[in-house]
Amino acid sequence: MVADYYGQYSGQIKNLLTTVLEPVERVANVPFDLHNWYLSASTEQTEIHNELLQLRSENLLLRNRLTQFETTQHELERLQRLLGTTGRMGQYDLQIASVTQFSITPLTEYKTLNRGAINGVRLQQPVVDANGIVGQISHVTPFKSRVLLVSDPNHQLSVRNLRTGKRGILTGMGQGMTQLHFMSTTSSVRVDDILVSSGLDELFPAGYPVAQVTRVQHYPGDSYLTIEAKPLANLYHSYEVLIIERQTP
Amino acid sequence: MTDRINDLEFRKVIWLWLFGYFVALTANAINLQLTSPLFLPPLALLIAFFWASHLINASHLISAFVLGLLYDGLYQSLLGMHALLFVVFMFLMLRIRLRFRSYRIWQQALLITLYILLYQIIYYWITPIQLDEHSIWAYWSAPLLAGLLWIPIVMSFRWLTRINVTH
Repeated sequence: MVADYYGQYSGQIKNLLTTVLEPVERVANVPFDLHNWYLSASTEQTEIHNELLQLRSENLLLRNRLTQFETTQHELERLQRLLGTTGRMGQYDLQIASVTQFSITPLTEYKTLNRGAINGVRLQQPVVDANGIVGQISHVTPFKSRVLLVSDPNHQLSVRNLRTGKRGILTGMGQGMTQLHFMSTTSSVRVDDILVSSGLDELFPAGYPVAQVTRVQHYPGDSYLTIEAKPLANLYHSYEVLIIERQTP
Repeated sequence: MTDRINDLEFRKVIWLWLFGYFVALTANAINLQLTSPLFLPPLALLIAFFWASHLINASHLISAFVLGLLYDGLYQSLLGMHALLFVVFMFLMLRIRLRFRSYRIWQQALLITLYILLYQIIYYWITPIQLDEHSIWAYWSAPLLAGLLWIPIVMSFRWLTRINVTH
């Protein structure tokens, strides 16, 4: 437990456990698959459905690229100030993955993807959807992988406020929400401010939208503001996501 | 017949033993995927309690530990957290299993409710769980659900065991 908490040395054991649990999860998926099958069969529009799926995949890729362009525009506005500290946006390979399972409960928050080690998925790879960052790969089995969501209490991410450029740490709160830490009481943070990844953690690409501020409070005596933010990514309903792989220059 | 069940041999029920744990894990895995999940108690622990009180020649601590590790994988919790909890609660059960076996089924259910309540308290204390107003009731009603589930679990496993042993 200590090794897992402080050093994350137990990754291989966790991957092994997740691999052992794969048959259990496959059986657990059967009722949901049957339900989905019933729904799709009842519409009798399988071809249209397949076409829709294909178009959705393309749409996901295009919207993701559009998001990158939008954030690049903001980047340019403060290029002089930020370039030296956040680093340049690199080139990334994207891999589309389908969500086969997801769980967002107070007990745990994760998504299971249909891409695993044989597809080249590795631990700590960022996962995004069309709206923003979803999380990072926390477990990899030969055929599947699990994503630790940004709203999980065990997840932390370095972000910056798109409006002011001020940086902070975004921590999951559970229940699909996050909390922004280390924003001093003198800093300007408003409701609806967009938080993007800063890239300082060298895991997530800089400039990706992460969350939108929903509540800002200042408790007397506190050095930092209490800020809640809602993740922009569709944590509950997205069934296709992108796994990002950083290309080495 | 009663003697036969009390003096169960592990090799005669090994498939039932494995199947029970598989079903329990699957049920908990299904529950995790529901949009409004119930707070199901760890069903594998309840089944482990059943076997601990019926297969009295084994300690069941290793199986509790392995099941705990699997729950760590299922719930993405700190590695060993469930394993430690399962072993501690299995030890508590082992201390009283002979007395526990002689209790009436409703008395057993009451004791299981108490055990799972203690389990939930410790779980709440050691995990960063955040409960809103809807889930707090569900979380603290899990011990009651465990007590209610204990009765069908015992009755169905006794029936399945009897079939397995007599054939």
